Amino acid sequence: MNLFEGRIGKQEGANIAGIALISGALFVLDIAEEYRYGNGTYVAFPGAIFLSLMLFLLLAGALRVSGQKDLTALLDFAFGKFAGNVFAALLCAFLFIDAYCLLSRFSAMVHALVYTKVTPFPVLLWIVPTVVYIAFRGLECIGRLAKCFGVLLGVVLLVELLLPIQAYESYRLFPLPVDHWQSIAADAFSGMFATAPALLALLCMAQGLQGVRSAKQAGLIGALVGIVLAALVQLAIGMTYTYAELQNMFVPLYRLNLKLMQESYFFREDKLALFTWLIGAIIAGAYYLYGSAFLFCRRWSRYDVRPAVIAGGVALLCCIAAEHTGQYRVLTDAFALVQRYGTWFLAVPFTAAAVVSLVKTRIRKGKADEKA
Amino acid sequence: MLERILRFFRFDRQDGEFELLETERGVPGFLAVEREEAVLPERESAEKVSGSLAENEVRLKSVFRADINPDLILRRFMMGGKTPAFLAYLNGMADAEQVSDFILRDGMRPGCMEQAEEPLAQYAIENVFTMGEAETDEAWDEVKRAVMEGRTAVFIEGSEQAILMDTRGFEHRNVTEPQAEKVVRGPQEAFVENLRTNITLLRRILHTEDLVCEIRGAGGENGIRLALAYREGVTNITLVEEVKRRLARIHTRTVIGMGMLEQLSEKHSLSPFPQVLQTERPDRAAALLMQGHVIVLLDGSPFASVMPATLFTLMTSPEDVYMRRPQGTTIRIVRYIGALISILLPAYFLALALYHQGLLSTEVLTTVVASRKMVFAPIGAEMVFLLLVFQLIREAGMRVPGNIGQAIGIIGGLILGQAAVAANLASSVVLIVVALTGLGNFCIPDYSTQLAAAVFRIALTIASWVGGLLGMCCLTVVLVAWMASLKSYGVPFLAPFSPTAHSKEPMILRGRIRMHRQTEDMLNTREEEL
Repeated sequence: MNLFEGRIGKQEGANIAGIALISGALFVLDIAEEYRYGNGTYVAFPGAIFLSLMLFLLLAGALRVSGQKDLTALLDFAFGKFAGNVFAALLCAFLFIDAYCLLSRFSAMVHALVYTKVTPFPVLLWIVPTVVYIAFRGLECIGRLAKCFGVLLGVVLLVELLLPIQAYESYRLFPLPVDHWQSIAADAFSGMFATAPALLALLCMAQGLQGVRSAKQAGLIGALVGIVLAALVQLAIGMTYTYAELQNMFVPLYRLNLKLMQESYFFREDKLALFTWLIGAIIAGAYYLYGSAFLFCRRWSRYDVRPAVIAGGVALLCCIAAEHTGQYRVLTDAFALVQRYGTWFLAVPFTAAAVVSLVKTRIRKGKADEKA
Repeated sequence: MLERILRFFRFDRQDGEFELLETERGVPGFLAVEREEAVLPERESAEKVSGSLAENEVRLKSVFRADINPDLILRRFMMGGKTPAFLAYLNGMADAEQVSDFILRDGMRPGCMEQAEEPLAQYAIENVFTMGEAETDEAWDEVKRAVMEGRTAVFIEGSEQAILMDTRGFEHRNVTEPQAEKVVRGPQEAFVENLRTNITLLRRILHTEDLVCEIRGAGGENGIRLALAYREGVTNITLVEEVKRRLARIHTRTVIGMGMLEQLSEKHSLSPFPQVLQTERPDRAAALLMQGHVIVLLDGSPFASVMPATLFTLMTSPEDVYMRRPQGTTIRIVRYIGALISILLPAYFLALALYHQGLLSTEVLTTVVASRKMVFAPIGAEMVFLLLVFQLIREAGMRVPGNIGQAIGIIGGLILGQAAVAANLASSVVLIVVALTGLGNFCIPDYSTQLAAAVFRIALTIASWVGGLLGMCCLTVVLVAWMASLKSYGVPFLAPFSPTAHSKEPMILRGRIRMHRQTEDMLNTREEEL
């Protein structure tokens, strides 16, 4: 670590990735929708992270082989400046949408489960400025914050899973996912919209993580932790409630904590758990917002990231507030469409970018060898 | 004009390799106005000492207002009975006996200038005066500064240099026990107001040839001096240069006391957390010096400023290393728990009592309700009021002399508390919470950090009052984010936790004494292993 150096290390990067992935997998993905065919989220949700990890590793490999310094440079290398701009804009939009989905979901949860007597706007006024402040302080602040809370959040999550262990019944896991693996695979693929941007953003900020290699290791560790925790949480939920019950349930993980009220001595920790998750959501939201602003500035502005963070924060607040008023159906529908079909716009171009850059590098290398 | 407007809206930033705003040195303003390095005015005057004795005397009298200022002693004498000379010193600052015995007596010895040759001043130092610390200087500013510091200046007719001899002999406090950092096991010495004594206290502990004490002006017009101590060859040169750069930028009317110097040299002036550690213990300063920190000692201040300071340095007590490892570790854990209680407990209790009663058991809730039955103020106001009263008692206890201060603490804690409960001004439960908070606060070893904790506590209590656990949670994250982005002289405030450093000392658990062989790699010292 050098003096005057504002970059983060692998531990910070892994914590950011882990928190963002778990928050995305547990709270952004629509669990009621996923349970329409039966149990299987404990495969589909970790599967979404796994597929994102594959894409991430492919891109990291392409970066290493082609010698590009970050993902935006790779896009330029593969498709040229114009197409690179288009795909960077796509990723920028996805990061913003993920921030929106996560914070919208959380503010709705906090409002519906704790502050029922007020409108959602005061809740938003606490959460969104906090997110904007952290994003405003930059990647270093987000990374260190993630490291401060990362282990704590993981431990709290595990404790929450351990406490209601008496309520787990394995028979509730039936029907087993083998019966409808096609729909589970489809769910895992469509769930990438909530998980892939977190990993791709790491590659965009590779220089802030001391290079592509470091970013790759951070992403790999974060994703593996994310896969394990997401699988454990979904398995615990699946063993506590039947899939029929889960189809109409709002935040099953929260309900899992309420189960303690009936069957355990530790019966008053549900709200505490909610606020602990909120810390994770705030960090993840700040990361997405910063990533979006960073990408925007990197490609089109070339100047300070902070005004873009403020502008993005205001836009975020307006979008979520508009959604909660219930008057802007168009907005909600648009985001729902993105949730359903967005993955195609994310997976296809970035996989193509990796493949094209690998082929291009190969051809160039071949030509160079011929000349030599 | 158009260009300027465009530049303004483009935030006037050039594309950096990564983010310039992430580096401490190049932090631009919010709208990216570059913070320019201050160009230091050239303060050294070109005035030289004259060869004419009369001219020097007139100039000195004029500078020190000798007509109305009896402090300046000017004494004419004939060196060796033939060369006219005079000496100047400030009465009370210089030791008159030394002046008589080693300057006047030696200087007036007959025949001492018989074989004098140019330069006269150098000849006099080498052959006439029997003073240990003597030098020649031709800069008039340096001569004035020397006289003001208590040294004696000797001018010789025909010599364009003055002889400056160290005759400082002013009254100062003797070395006593530390007042704020008492330890049971460990040295019982504290720094005093005398800079030379403080350097000696450090050198008595550190018998290393690489210890450097650079003495320089502190930057105030009052001309006070400071000493910059570091280990040449071990301490990161970038850190040393950064400290020097910040000290060189100080240009103000007065610098009195280390607190002023700290504020003048730090970057984040609005941060509640201190960015330097102030200690009155030479052993602690010496230990940190050995690890690669930079120490600043200021003349007239009984504290040493240690740079950089991280959260874990501020939470470390000098006694930790004097205790056995399990004891030291236990005490440290208790200290961190105390600090957490001190900062979070009032806000947490208030959030539960006001917004999330479901999280409290029926018994606790009944007790809270019963104790508050006759209290007329809202619980939030009561909590904030009692926290302020606690600060009030603390301030009052500190400002009054010893025994009376303790008495105020007892009166405040027992009588006032009891009376407040009896008069239904406060509830006993809230009083207990505030008392626990106060105890936790005293677990924090550093005074500035205690004050920072008090600021955080009150802010969190108000946030909790307004927004319950949501407010508390959001503000806690903001405060941790603040700490995460804070840097002390380029070193992240949360190091060695984040960024991770290999030498984890000092952290929450106390490491082995053997680990002290390793310098702190978060400081990028030149030696990894001593």
